[in-house]
Amino acid sequence: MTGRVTSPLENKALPSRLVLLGVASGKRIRLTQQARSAAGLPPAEVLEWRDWLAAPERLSSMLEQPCVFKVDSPGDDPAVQARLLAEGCIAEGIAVPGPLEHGEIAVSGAWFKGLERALQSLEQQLATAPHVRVMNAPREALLMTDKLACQQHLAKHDVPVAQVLGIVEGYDHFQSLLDQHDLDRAFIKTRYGSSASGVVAYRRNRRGGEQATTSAQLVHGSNGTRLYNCKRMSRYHHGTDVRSLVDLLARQQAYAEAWLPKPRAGNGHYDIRVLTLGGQPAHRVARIGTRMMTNLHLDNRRAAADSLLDAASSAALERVARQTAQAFPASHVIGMDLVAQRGEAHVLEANAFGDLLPGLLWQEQDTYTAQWKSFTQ
Amino acid sequence: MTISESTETFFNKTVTAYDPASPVDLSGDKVYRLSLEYDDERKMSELFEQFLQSADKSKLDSLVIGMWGEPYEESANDIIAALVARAPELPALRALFIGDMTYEECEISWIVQGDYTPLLKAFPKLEELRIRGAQDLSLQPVTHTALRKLTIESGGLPSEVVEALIASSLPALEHLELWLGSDEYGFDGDVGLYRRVLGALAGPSLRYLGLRDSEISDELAQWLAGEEVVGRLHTLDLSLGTLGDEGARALLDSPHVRKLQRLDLSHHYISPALQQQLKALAPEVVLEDAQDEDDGSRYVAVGE
Repeated sequence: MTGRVTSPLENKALPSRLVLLGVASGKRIRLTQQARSAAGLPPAEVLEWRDWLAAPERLSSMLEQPCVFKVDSPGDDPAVQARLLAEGCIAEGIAVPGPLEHGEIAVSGAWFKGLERALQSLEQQLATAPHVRVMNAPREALLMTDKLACQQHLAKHDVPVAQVLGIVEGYDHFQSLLDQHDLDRAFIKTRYGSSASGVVAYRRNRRGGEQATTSAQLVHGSNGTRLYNCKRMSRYHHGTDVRSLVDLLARQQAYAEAWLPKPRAGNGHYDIRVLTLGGQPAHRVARIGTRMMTNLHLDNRRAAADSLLDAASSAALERVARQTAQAFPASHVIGMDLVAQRGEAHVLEANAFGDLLPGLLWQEQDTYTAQWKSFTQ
Repeated sequence: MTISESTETFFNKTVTAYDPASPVDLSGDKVYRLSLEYDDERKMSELFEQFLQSADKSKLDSLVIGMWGEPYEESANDIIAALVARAPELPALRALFIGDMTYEECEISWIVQGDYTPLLKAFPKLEELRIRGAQDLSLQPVTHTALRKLTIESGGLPSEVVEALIASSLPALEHLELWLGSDEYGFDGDVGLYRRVLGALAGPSLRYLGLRDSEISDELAQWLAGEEVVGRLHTLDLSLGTLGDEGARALLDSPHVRKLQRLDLSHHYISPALQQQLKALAPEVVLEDAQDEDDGSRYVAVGE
């Protein structure tokens, strides 16, 4: 075995600085700093999203010297969220709505517009610093945040995804979409939501029954019915509740997609989160849920993906993960959720900020250690 | 990171999905689960016939039936009829689980069950029967001298089924497990009804009584606390229900409860103080999965 020969000069050229746009108090930054300190790297230089939004020039000065740049999730910092929403409303020429209550689901088109403007200006700012190595292109992060556009983008690249039934305009329209596609079950997802936020698993039967399982909770108040995100699943099976749920989600731009059956493990079902690094599948973990959604934050169990997948499904998982990464060539890190069984794999979702997987190792490295090494090697 | 064990067992055997492409091996500790996929073109009775062709019928002692076609629209009667028709060729069959489906395949309250009278008559040596789902579940009073374990899991257990059990004779019964569920999904019983169940089915062999997933857990506990029969059991299981301090206090004060080996109260609404007192009892008391009332309401673990 011969080691790779690197001249001291070349070694010196490798950037060791990481400039991060993120939320300093968050878990992502904490784990990033831990990984860097363990690897003997200087701590990442963090610019708060809110500070950048207020004074973008602060980033330019941080990017003057060679470095690696990564944009992280704006998270749920209320100041950032309010600012993005306000910018979006101004851009769309609509009135800025009153403040949201904690947990209220109102991820509107205006919010996305605000994010779009922010990420576009970030992209322009990065273009003026060609010596900076960008880990994830803002334009691709934006595309992944629009879940509907992301699925359509993947389908265009021949990546197997759940069939998109289209935008849901309301309960009646949703019913006609099901009829049209001869389906009795489907998922409704908010277009700009994240993880399990505002997702509904819906089914109906010919006996006249219907049920909607969701992380969204209907709260009837004096100002009408509003939607809140909830850590517990709620089930609705009364016609009027299901109708208001679907109608309310439709107002925030929701779309329906075919329900891909998830493989069974014990008394639950699972999907698999795969992280690609530089286009190659790396970290992976099965998420077994005994309830309808298997996203990590909803109290589900994790299991080693290898323990559940047969060789053919494992190969399909890796193949489809690579294909997905190829559709986002400027994103070094992508977290994707897949269903793999019987030698086939489908992508449920691709996440630009899908690397928060605490404790999960691949080749003995956590996600933050591995992404740095693979990016700078 | 915890790697959770996800294996299930039935009849003390490991549940294994039946794959027509792989040989059936009945020599080990496997029990096969026959299950169709969503939108499957096949019928369960066909899958069952295919399974029997590749299995040593004289050795088949247990079987799990999962999703049959569209279990939310079609009943279990087809697969029950197929089992009954093949009964003479299945002399070793001792254990059946019909309706092994998860929430994703079919919610428990949507599973359309069937009539189990012919099945119990066709398999007089059956020792264990587990049924999931109670919609359209029916039973005529039967005499069955081999049945040791009977489990009916439901989101709402209708009284007619319970009345049929009361009028039945099951002298070998060791394990009686009923999931009462919620009145929103068909539960319409009361303490009086279950008092009669105990009177009819608590023979000398009964070791386990489970009245689970009930929204009348407190009332059941208050009644059971005064039942001498409870003192002869190994396990009393009131888990998955809405048990709170009222029921817990009655159990604490009961001389019969103290004689149990195990008291399972998982998924409960008992205050921390009473939980402490319960833990000090002689039997092993299981108090996992404590619940908080939601705006003053309590919910069973498995409803819809």
